[in-house]
Amino acid sequence: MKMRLPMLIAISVGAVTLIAYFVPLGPLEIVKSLLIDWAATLSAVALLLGIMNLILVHIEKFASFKRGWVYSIVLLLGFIFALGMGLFPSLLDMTRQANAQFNAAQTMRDLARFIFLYIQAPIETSLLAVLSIVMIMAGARLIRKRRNLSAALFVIVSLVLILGLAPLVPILGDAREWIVQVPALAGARGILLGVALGAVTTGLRVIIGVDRPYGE
Amino acid sequence: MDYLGLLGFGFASLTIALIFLFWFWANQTGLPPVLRDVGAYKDLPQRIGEAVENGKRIHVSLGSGAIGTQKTTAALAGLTVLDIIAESATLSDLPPVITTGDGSSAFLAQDALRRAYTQLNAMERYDHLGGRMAGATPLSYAAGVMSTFSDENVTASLLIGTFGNEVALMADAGSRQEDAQLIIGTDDVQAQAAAYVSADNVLIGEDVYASGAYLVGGKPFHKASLQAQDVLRLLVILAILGGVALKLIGVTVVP
Repeated sequence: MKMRLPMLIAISVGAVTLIAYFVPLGPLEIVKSLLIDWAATLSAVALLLGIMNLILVHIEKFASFKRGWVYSIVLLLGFIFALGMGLFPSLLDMTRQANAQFNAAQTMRDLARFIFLYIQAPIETSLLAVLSIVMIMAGARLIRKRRNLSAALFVIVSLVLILGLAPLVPILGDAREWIVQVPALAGARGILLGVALGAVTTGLRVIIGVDRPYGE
Repeated sequence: MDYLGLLGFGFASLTIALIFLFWFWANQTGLPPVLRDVGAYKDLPQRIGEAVENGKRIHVSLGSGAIGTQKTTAALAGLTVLDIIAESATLSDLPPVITTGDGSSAFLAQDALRRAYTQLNAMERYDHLGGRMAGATPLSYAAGVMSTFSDENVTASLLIGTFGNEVALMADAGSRQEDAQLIIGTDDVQAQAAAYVSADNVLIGEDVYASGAYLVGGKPFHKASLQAQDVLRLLVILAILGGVALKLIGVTVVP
Protein backbone atom coordinates (compact mmCIF):
# COMPACT_ATOMS: atom_id res chain seq x y z
CA MET A 1 0.00 0.00 0.00
CA LYS A 2 2.85 2.35 0.94
CA MET A 3 4.43 1.79 -2.48
CA ARG A 4 1.16 2.07 -4.41
CA LEU A 5 0.03 5.35 -2.88
CA PRO A 6 2.44 7.60 -4.87
CA MET A 7 1.45 5.73 -8.02
CA LEU A 8 -2.26 6.21 -7.35
CA ILE A 9 -1.77 9.91 -6.64
CA ALA A 10 0.35 10.37 -9.77
CA ILE A 11 -2.11 8.53 -12.02
CA SER A 12 -5.14 10.41 -10.64
CA VAL A 13 -3.48 13.81 -10.88
CA GLY A 14 -2.19 13.11 -14.40
CA ALA A 15 -5.53 11.75 -15.61
CA VAL A 16 -7.57 14.64 -14.14
CA THR A 17 -5.24 17.26 -15.65
CA LEU A 18 -5.22 15.55 -19.06
CA ILE A 19 -9.01 15.14 -19.18
CA ALA A 20 -9.54 18.73 -18.03
CA TYR A 21 -7.51 19.95 -21.02
CA PHE A 22 -9.89 18.22 -23.41
CA VAL A 23 -13.15 18.54 -21.45
CA PRO A 24 -13.11 22.07 -20.01
CA LEU A 25 -15.97 21.58 -17.52
CA GLY A 26 -16.22 23.93 -14.52
CA PRO A 27 -15.17 21.65 -11.61
CA LEU A 28 -12.48 19.91 -13.66
CA GLU A 29 -11.07 23.26 -14.75
CA ILE A 30 -10.86 24.41 -11.13
CA VAL A 31 -9.07 21.20 -10.07
CA LYS A 32 -6.71 21.46 -13.07
CA SER A 33 -5.79 25.07 -12.26
CA LEU A 34 -5.22 24.17 -8.63
CA LEU A 35 -2.98 21.23 -9.54
CA ILE A 36 -0.99 23.33 -12.02
CA ASP A 37 -0.54 26.03 -9.37
CA TRP A 38 0.77 23.42 -6.94
CA ALA A 39 3.13 22.09 -9.59
CA ALA A 40 4.45 25.61 -10.29
CA THR A 41 5.01 26.21 -6.56
CA LEU A 42 6.77 22.86 -6.16
CA SER A 43 8.97 23.60 -9.20
CA ALA A 44 10.00 26.94 -7.69
CA VAL A 45 10.87 25.27 -4.37
CA ALA A 46 12.74 22.53 -6.26
CA LEU A 47 14.74 25.20 -8.11
CA LEU A 48 15.70 26.77 -4.78
CA LEU A 49 16.73 23.39 -3.39
CA GLY A 50 18.57 22.65 -6.64
CA ILE A 51 20.60 25.85 -6.23
CA MET A 52 21.37 24.88 -2.63
CA ASN A 53 22.48 21.48 -3.94
CA LEU A 54 24.75 23.23 -6.47
CA ILE A 55 26.25 25.34 -3.69
CA LEU A 56 26.78 22.26 -1.49
CA VAL A 57 28.58 20.48 -4.36
CA HIS A 58 30.99 23.41 -4.70
CA ILE A 59 31.48 23.82 -0.94
CA GLU A 60 32.40 20.13 -0.77
CA LYS A 61 34.72 20.50 -3.77
CA PHE A 62 36.43 23.50 -2.19
CA ALA A 63 36.64 21.92 1.29
CA SER A 64 38.30 18.76 -0.01
CA PHE A 65 40.49 20.64 -2.55
CA LYS A 66 39.18 18.51 -5.41
CA ARG A 67 40.29 19.25 -8.95
CA GLY A 68 38.96 22.64 -10.06
CA TRP A 69 38.36 23.90 -6.50
CA VAL A 70 39.57 27.39 -7.44
CA TYR A 71 36.60 27.77 -9.78
CA SER A 72 34.36 26.66 -6.93
CA ILE A 73 35.58 29.65 -4.89
CA VAL A 74 34.74 31.96 -7.79
CA LEU A 75 31.28 30.42 -8.02
CA LEU A 76 30.66 30.66 -4.28
CA LEU A 77 31.83 34.29 -4.07
CA GLY A 78 29.77 35.17 -7.14
CA PHE A 79 26.74 33.48 -5.64
CA ILE A 80 27.06 35.29 -2.29
CA PHE A 81 27.60 38.64 -4.02
CA ALA A 82 24.68 38.24 -6.45
CA LEU A 83 22.39 36.92 -3.71
CA GLY A 84 23.30 39.85 -1.47
CA MET A 85 22.62 42.35 -4.23
CA GLY A 86 19.24 40.76 -4.79
CA LEU A 87 18.20 40.31 -1.16
CA PHE A 88 19.43 43.37 0.69
CA PRO A 89 17.48 46.00 -1.26
CA SER A 90 14.26 44.18 -0.38
CA LEU A 91 15.28 44.01 3.28
CA LEU A 92 16.11 47.72 3.28
CA ASP A 93 12.78 48.48 1.62
CA MET A 94 11.01 46.57 4.35
CA THR A 95 12.60 48.71 7.07
CA ARG A 96 11.46 51.91 5.23
CA GLN A 97 13.63 54.15 7.31
CA ALA A 98 16.07 56.84 6.31
CA ASN A 99 16.33 58.18 2.80
CA ALA A 100 20.00 57.20 2.79
CA GLN A 101 18.98 53.55 3.16
CA PHE A 102 16.61 53.89 0.21
CA ASN A 103 19.53 55.16 -1.92
CA ALA A 104 21.62 52.20 -0.78
CA ALA A 105 18.82 49.86 -1.86
CA GLN A 106 18.67 51.53 -5.29
CA THR A 107 22.45 51.30 -5.66
CA MET A 108 22.35 47.59 -4.92
CA ARG A 109 19.55 47.08 -7.43
CA ASP A 110 21.64 48.91 -10.03
CA LEU A 111 24.59 46.71 -9.13
CA ALA A 112 22.48 43.55 -9.54
CA ARG A 113 21.38 44.81 -12.98
CA PHE A 114 25.01 45.61 -13.76
CA ILE A 115 26.03 42.02 -12.87
CA PHE A 116 23.42 40.64 -15.24
CA LEU A 117 23.95 43.08 -18.12
CA TYR A 118 27.73 43.45 -18.04
CA ILE A 119 29.00 40.17 -16.57
CA GLN A 120 26.56 37.30 -17.12
CA ALA A 121 25.14 38.32 -20.51
CA PRO A 122 28.57 39.04 -22.15
CA ILE A 123 30.04 35.79 -20.77
CA GLU A 124 27.12 33.76 -22.14
CA THR A 125 27.36 35.61 -25.48
CA SER A 126 31.10 34.84 -25.61
CA LEU A 127 30.33 31.17 -25.04
CA LEU A 128 27.95 31.29 -28.01
CA ALA A 129 30.70 32.90 -30.10
CA VAL A 130 33.06 30.09 -29.13
CA LEU A 131 30.32 27.67 -30.17
CA SER A 132 30.72 28.56 -33.87
CA ILE A 133 34.46 27.78 -33.74
CA VAL A 134 33.78 24.54 -31.86
CA MET A 135 31.25 23.51 -34.51
CA ILE A 136 33.73 24.12 -37.34
CA MET A 137 36.38 22.08 -35.53
CA ALA A 138 33.87 19.30 -34.83
CA GLY A 139 32.93 19.30 -38.54
CA ALA A 140 36.60 18.86 -39.45
CA ARG A 141 36.94 16.03 -36.91
CA LEU A 142 33.85 14.38 -38.36
CA ILE A 143 35.66 13.84 -41.68
CA ARG A 144 38.41 11.95 -39.84
CA LYS A 145 36.13 10.10 -37.43
CA ARG A 146 33.36 8.86 -39.71
CA ARG A 147 34.26 8.03 -43.27
CA ASN A 148 30.81 7.16 -44.55
CA LEU A 149 28.23 8.51 -46.96
CA SER A 150 26.14 10.37 -44.39
CA ALA A 151 29.20 12.18 -42.98
CA ALA A 152 30.32 13.13 -46.52
CA LEU A 153 26.82 14.39 -47.33
CA PHE A 154 26.71 16.36 -44.07
CA VAL A 155 30.01 18.10 -44.84
CA ILE A 156 29.10 18.88 -48.48
CA VAL A 157 25.70 20.29 -47.52
CA SER A 158 27.27 22.35 -44.71
CA LEU A 159 29.79 23.82 -47.16
CA VAL A 160 27.05 24.67 -49.67
CA LEU A 161 25.00 26.34 -46.92
CA ILE A 162 27.96 28.40 -45.69
CA LEU A 163 29.25 29.38 -49.14
CA GLY A 164 25.69 30.04 -50.32
CA LEU A 165 25.55 32.98 -47.91
CA ALA A 166 28.41 34.73 -49.73
CA PRO A 167 27.53 36.38 -53.07
CA LEU A 168 30.41 34.61 -54.88
CA VAL A 169 28.63 32.00 -56.94
CA PRO A 170 24.92 32.78 -57.47
CA ILE A 171 24.05 29.12 -58.10
CA LEU A 172 25.23 28.24 -54.59
CA GLY A 173 22.81 30.81 -53.20
CA ASP A 174 19.96 29.17 -55.12
CA ALA A 175 21.11 25.70 -54.01
CA ARG A 176 21.21 26.93 -50.41
CA GLU A 177 17.69 28.28 -50.68
CA TRP A 178 16.40 25.00 -52.13
CA ILE A 179 18.17 22.87 -49.49
CA VAL A 180 16.81 25.00 -46.63
CA GLN A 181 13.26 25.19 -48.00
CA VAL A 182 12.79 21.63 -49.29
CA PRO A 183 14.90 18.70 -47.97
CA ALA A 184 16.02 20.33 -44.69
CA LEU A 185 12.51 21.54 -43.84
CA ALA A 186 10.96 18.18 -44.77
CA GLY A 187 13.57 16.31 -42.73
CA ALA A 188 13.17 18.60 -39.73
CA ARG A 189 9.38 18.17 -39.84
CA GLY A 190 9.78 14.40 -40.03
CA ILE A 191 12.09 14.42 -37.01
CA LEU A 192 9.75 16.75 -35.12
CA LEU A 193 6.85 14.42 -35.86
CA GLY A 194 8.82 11.51 -34.40
CA VAL A 195 9.85 13.58 -31.37
CA ALA A 196 6.24 14.67 -30.79
CA LEU A 197 4.92 11.10 -30.97
CA GLY A 198 7.73 9.92 -28.67
CA ALA A 199 6.91 12.69 -26.20
CA VAL A 200 3.18 11.84 -26.29
CA THR A 201 3.74 8.13 -25.60
CA THR A 202 6.33 8.88 -22.88
CA GLY A 203 3.92 11.27 -21.14
CA LEU A 204 1.00 8.86 -21.44
CA ARG A 205 3.10 5.98 -20.07
CA VAL A 206 3.71 8.07 -16.95
CA ILE A 207 0.02 9.00 -16.67
CA ILE A 208 -1.13 5.36 -16.90
CA GLY A 209 1.51 4.37 -14.34
CA VAL A 210 3.71 2.20 -16.57
CA ASP A 211 6.72 4.50 -16.06
CA ARG A 212 7.27 5.75 -12.52
CA PRO A 213 10.03 8.36 -12.37
CA TYR A 214 8.83 9.17 -8.84
CA GLY A 215 10.04 5.77 -7.56
CA GLU A 216 8.72 2.27 -7.09
CA MET B 1 -16.09 20.22 -25.95
CA ASP B 2 -14.90 21.73 -29.27
CA TYR B 3 -13.75 19.50 -32.13
CA LEU B 4 -10.03 20.12 -31.38
CA GLY B 5 -10.56 18.98 -27.77
CA LEU B 6 -12.42 15.93 -29.05
CA LEU B 7 -9.61 15.20 -31.51
CA GLY B 8 -6.97 15.51 -28.77
CA PHE B 9 -8.96 13.31 -26.40
CA GLY B 10 -9.45 10.73 -29.16
CA PHE B 11 -5.75 10.80 -30.01
CA ALA B 12 -4.69 10.29 -26.38
CA SER B 13 -7.25 7.50 -25.89
CA LEU B 14 -6.20 5.80 -29.12
CA THR B 15 -2.53 5.97 -28.06
CA ILE B 16 -3.27 4.35 -24.68
CA ALA B 17 -5.49 1.72 -26.36
CA LEU B 18 -2.77 0.90 -28.90
CA ILE B 19 -0.08 0.59 -26.20
CA PHE B 20 -2.24 -1.89 -24.25
CA LEU B 21 -3.25 -3.71 -27.43
CA PHE B 22 0.35 -4.29 -28.59
CA TRP B 23 1.44 -5.22 -25.05
CA PHE B 24 -1.41 -7.74 -24.81
CA TRP B 25 -0.64 -9.10 -28.29
CA ALA B 26 3.06 -9.63 -27.45
CA ASN B 27 2.06 -11.32 -24.18
CA GLN B 28 -0.40 -13.67 -25.86
CA THR B 29 1.71 -14.62 -28.86
CA GLY B 30 5.09 -14.45 -27.12
CA LEU B 31 6.36 -12.61 -30.17
CA PRO B 32 7.95 -9.27 -29.24
CA PRO B 33 8.40 -6.75 -32.06
CA VAL B 34 11.64 -6.76 -34.03
CA LEU B 35 13.40 -3.44 -33.50
CA ARG B 36 15.82 -1.84 -35.93
CA ASP B 37 19.39 -1.35 -34.73
CA VAL B 38 20.18 1.90 -32.93
CA GLY B 39 23.95 2.19 -32.63
CA ALA B 40 23.89 4.23 -29.43
CA TYR B 41 21.76 1.72 -27.54
CA LYS B 42 23.65 -1.25 -28.99
CA ASP B 43 26.98 0.02 -27.66
CA LEU B 44 25.73 1.43 -24.36
CA PRO B 45 25.84 -1.71 -22.15
CA GLN B 46 29.37 -2.42 -23.40
CA ARG B 47 30.50 1.14 -22.67
CA ILE B 48 29.09 0.98 -19.16
CA GLY B 49 30.69 -2.42 -18.61
CA GLU B 50 34.08 -1.08 -19.72
CA ALA B 51 33.76 1.95 -17.44
CA VAL B 52 32.84 -0.26 -14.47
CA GLU B 53 35.73 -2.67 -15.17
CA ASN B 54 38.21 0.20 -15.40
CA GLY B 55 36.88 1.76 -12.20
CA LYS B 56 35.92 4.94 -14.05
CA ARG B 57 32.93 7.18 -13.54
CA ILE B 58 29.79 7.28 -15.68
CA HIS B 59 28.14 10.62 -16.23
CA VAL B 60 24.49 11.07 -17.13
CA SER B 61 23.21 14.51 -18.04
CA LEU B 62 19.46 15.09 -18.11
CA GLY B 63 19.49 18.43 -19.92
CA SER B 64 18.09 21.80 -18.99
CA GLY B 65 14.43 20.85 -19.48
CA ALA B 66 12.45 21.38 -16.32
CA ILE B 67 9.86 18.94 -14.98
CA GLY B 68 6.47 20.60 -15.21
CA THR B 69 7.20 22.44 -18.46
CA GLN B 70 6.72 21.35 -22.08
CA LYS B 71 10.21 19.83 -21.92
CA THR B 72 9.18 17.39 -19.18
CA THR B 73 9.10 14.33 -21.44
CA ALA B 74 12.70 14.85 -22.62
CA ALA B 75 13.83 14.93 -18.98
CA LEU B 76 11.75 11.80 -18.35
CA ALA B 77 13.50 10.09 -21.30
CA GLY B 78 16.85 10.80 -19.62
CA LEU B 79 15.49 9.53 -16.30
CA THR B 80 14.36 6.28 -17.99
CA VAL B 81 17.93 5.68 -19.20
CA LEU B 82 19.24 6.53 -15.75
CA ASP B 83 16.81 4.11 -14.11
CA ILE B 84 17.95 1.33 -16.43
CA ILE B 85 21.69 1.87 -16.15
CA ALA B 86 21.87 3.06 -12.52
CA GLU B 87 22.33 -0.39 -11.03
CA SER B 88 25.26 -1.36 -13.26
CA ALA B 89 26.77 2.17 -13.10
CA THR B 90 26.80 2.13 -9.30
CA LEU B 91 28.94 -1.05 -9.35
CA SER B 92 31.97 1.01 -10.41
CA ASP B 93 34.56 2.11 -7.82
CA LEU B 94 33.65 5.69 -8.59
CA PRO B 95 29.92 6.38 -8.19
CA PRO B 96 28.07 7.84 -11.21
CA VAL B 97 27.48 11.56 -11.43
CA ILE B 98 24.19 12.96 -12.71
CA THR B 99 23.92 16.57 -13.82
CA THR B 100 20.72 18.46 -14.56
CA GLY B 101 19.68 22.01 -15.31
CA ASP B 102 16.58 21.82 -13.15
CA GLY B 103 15.95 21.32 -9.45
CA SER B 104 13.15 18.78 -9.67
CA SER B 105 14.97 16.48 -12.10
CA ALA B 106 18.04 16.67 -9.83
CA PHE B 107 15.93 15.21 -7.01
CA LEU B 108 14.46 12.54 -9.29
CA ALA B 109 18.03 11.63 -10.31
CA GLN B 110 19.06 11.37 -6.64
CA ASP B 111 16.06 9.13 -6.06
CA ALA B 112 17.06 6.86 -8.97
CA LEU B 113 20.57 6.54 -7.51
CA ARG B 114 19.20 5.87 -4.03
CA ARG B 115 16.98 3.09 -5.41
CA ALA B 116 19.94 1.53 -7.24
CA TYR B 117 22.07 1.54 -4.07
CA THR B 118 19.17 0.16 -2.03
CA GLN B 119 18.78 -2.72 -4.49
CA LEU B 120 22.52 -3.38 -4.27
CA ASN B 121 22.24 -3.27 -0.48
CA ALA B 122 25.00 -0.65 -0.44
CA MET B 123 23.30 2.45 0.89
CA GLU B 124 26.48 3.45 2.74
CA ARG B 125 27.99 4.26 -0.69
CA TYR B 126 25.12 6.53 -1.69
CA ASP B 127 26.09 10.19 -2.01
CA HIS B 128 23.19 12.60 -2.45
CA LEU B 129 25.53 15.02 -4.23
CA GLY B 130 25.90 12.44 -7.01
CA GLY B 131 22.71 13.89 -8.49
CA ARG B 132 23.26 17.60 -8.84
CA MET B 133 22.09 20.73 -10.57
CA ALA B 134 24.91 22.05 -12.76
CA GLY B 135 23.45 25.44 -13.67
CA ALA B 136 20.16 27.29 -13.80
CA THR B 137 20.34 28.64 -17.38
CA PRO B 138 21.20 26.55 -20.49
CA LEU B 139 24.66 28.12 -20.89
CA SER B 140 25.59 28.05 -17.20
CA TYR B 141 24.41 24.45 -17.19
CA ALA B 142 26.66 23.74 -20.20
CA ALA B 143 29.59 25.33 -18.33
CA GLY B 144 28.82 23.18 -15.27
CA VAL B 145 28.70 20.00 -17.35
CA MET B 146 31.96 20.92 -19.14
CA SER B 147 33.78 21.20 -15.82
CA THR B 148 32.26 17.89 -14.67
CA PHE B 149 34.00 16.09 -17.57
CA SER B 150 37.43 17.27 -16.54
CA ASP B 151 37.06 17.34 -12.74
CA GLU B 152 35.23 14.05 -12.09
CA ASN B 153 37.32 11.52 -14.06
CA VAL B 154 34.40 10.70 -16.36
CA THR B 155 34.84 8.13 -19.10
CA ALA B 156 31.35 7.46 -20.51
CA SER B 157 28.84 10.27 -20.80
CA LEU B 158 25.19 10.05 -21.71
CA LEU B 159 23.57 13.37 -22.48
CA ILE B 160 19.87 12.63 -22.88
CA GLY B 161 17.21 15.30 -22.42
CA THR B 162 16.71 18.87 -23.58
CA PHE B 163 19.86 20.44 -25.01
CA GLY B 164 20.23 23.38 -27.35
CA ASN B 165 23.17 24.13 -29.64
CA GLU B 166 25.36 24.51 -26.53
CA VAL B 167 25.51 20.71 -26.56
CA ALA B 168 28.43 21.10 -29.02
CA LEU B 169 30.43 22.86 -26.28
CA MET B 170 29.72 20.01 -23.86
CA ALA B 171 30.59 17.41 -26.49
CA ASP B 172 33.86 19.18 -27.27
CA ALA B 173 34.81 19.19 -23.57
CA GLY B 174 33.77 15.54 -23.26
CA SER B 175 35.75 14.40 -26.27
CA ARG B 176 38.95 15.89 -24.79
CA GLN B 177 38.91 13.24 -22.04
CA GLU B 178 41.03 10.15 -22.51
CA ASP B 179 39.05 7.16 -23.89
CA ALA B 180 35.89 9.21 -23.55
CA GLN B 181 32.66 7.92 -25.03
CA LEU B 182 29.85 10.32 -25.64
CA ILE B 183 26.23 9.51 -26.44
CA ILE B 184 23.84 12.41 -27.06
CA GLY B 185 20.09 12.42 -27.45
CA THR B 186 18.09 15.64 -27.55
CA ASP B 187 14.59 16.67 -28.56
CA ASP B 188 15.89 19.81 -30.33
CA VAL B 189 16.33 19.38 -34.10
CA GLN B 190 19.16 21.94 -34.46
CA ALA B 191 20.98 20.50 -31.47
CA GLN B 192 20.71 17.04 -33.03
CA ALA B 193 22.75 18.35 -35.97
CA ALA B 194 25.30 19.83 -33.56
CA ALA B 195 25.42 16.52 -31.69
CA TYR B 196 25.86 14.57 -34.92
CA VAL B 197 29.20 16.24 -35.62
CA SER B 198 30.42 16.16 -32.03
CA ALA B 199 29.40 12.88 -30.39
CA ASP B 200 30.38 9.24 -30.90
CA ASN B 201 26.74 8.19 -31.04
CA VAL B 202 23.63 10.28 -31.54
CA LEU B 203 19.98 9.52 -30.92
CA ILE B 204 17.89 11.09 -33.67
CA GLY B 205 14.19 11.96 -33.39
CA GLU B 206 12.05 9.53 -31.41
CA ASP B 207 15.09 7.33 -30.61
CA VAL B 208 15.60 9.62 -27.61
CA TYR B 209 12.41 8.22 -26.09
CA ALA B 210 13.05 4.59 -27.04
CA SER B 211 15.68 3.62 -24.44
CA GLY B 212 13.24 1.50 -22.44
CA ALA B 213 12.50 -0.66 -25.47
CA TYR B 214 16.15 -1.21 -26.37
CA LEU B 215 18.13 -1.51 -23.15
CA VAL B 216 18.41 -4.61 -20.95
CA GLY B 217 16.21 -6.75 -23.18
CA GLY B 218 13.56 -4.05 -23.48
CA LYS B 219 10.53 -3.38 -21.30
CA PRO B 220 7.33 -4.86 -22.86
CA PHE B 221 5.29 -1.66 -22.45
CA HIS B 222 8.06 0.42 -24.04
CA LYS B 223 8.21 -1.92 -27.02
CA ALA B 224 4.44 -1.73 -27.31
CA SER B 225 4.56 2.05 -27.27
CA LEU B 226 7.07 2.02 -30.13
CA GLN B 227 4.59 -0.04 -32.15
CA ALA B 228 1.82 2.37 -31.16
CA GLN B 229 3.99 5.26 -32.39
CA ASP B 230 4.38 3.55 -35.77
CA VAL B 231 0.60 3.24 -36.16
CA LEU B 232 0.10 6.86 -35.07
CA ARG B 233 2.77 8.03 -37.49
CA LEU B 234 0.97 6.24 -40.29
CA LEU B 235 -2.28 7.95 -39.30
CA VAL B 236 -0.61 11.37 -39.21
CA ILE B 237 0.94 10.77 -42.64
CA LEU B 238 -2.46 9.73 -44.01
CA ALA B 239 -4.00 12.85 -42.45
CA ILE B 240 -1.34 15.06 -44.09
CA LEU B 241 -1.82 13.40 -47.48
CA GLY B 242 -5.60 13.63 -47.07
CA GLY B 243 -5.27 17.33 -46.24
CA VAL B 244 -3.14 17.90 -49.33
CA ALA B 245 -5.65 16.06 -51.53
CA LEU B 246 -8.58 18.03 -50.09
CA LYS B 247 -6.70 21.30 -50.56
CA LEU B 248 -6.00 20.38 -54.19
CA ILE B 249 -9.68 19.85 -54.90
CA GLY B 250 -10.52 23.09 -53.09
CA VAL B 251 -12.10 21.74 -49.89
CA THR B 252 -11.19 23.55 -46.64
CA VAL B 253 -11.64 21.39 -43.52
CA VAL B 254 -10.20 23.78 -40.90
CA PRO B 255 -11.37 27.39 -41.42
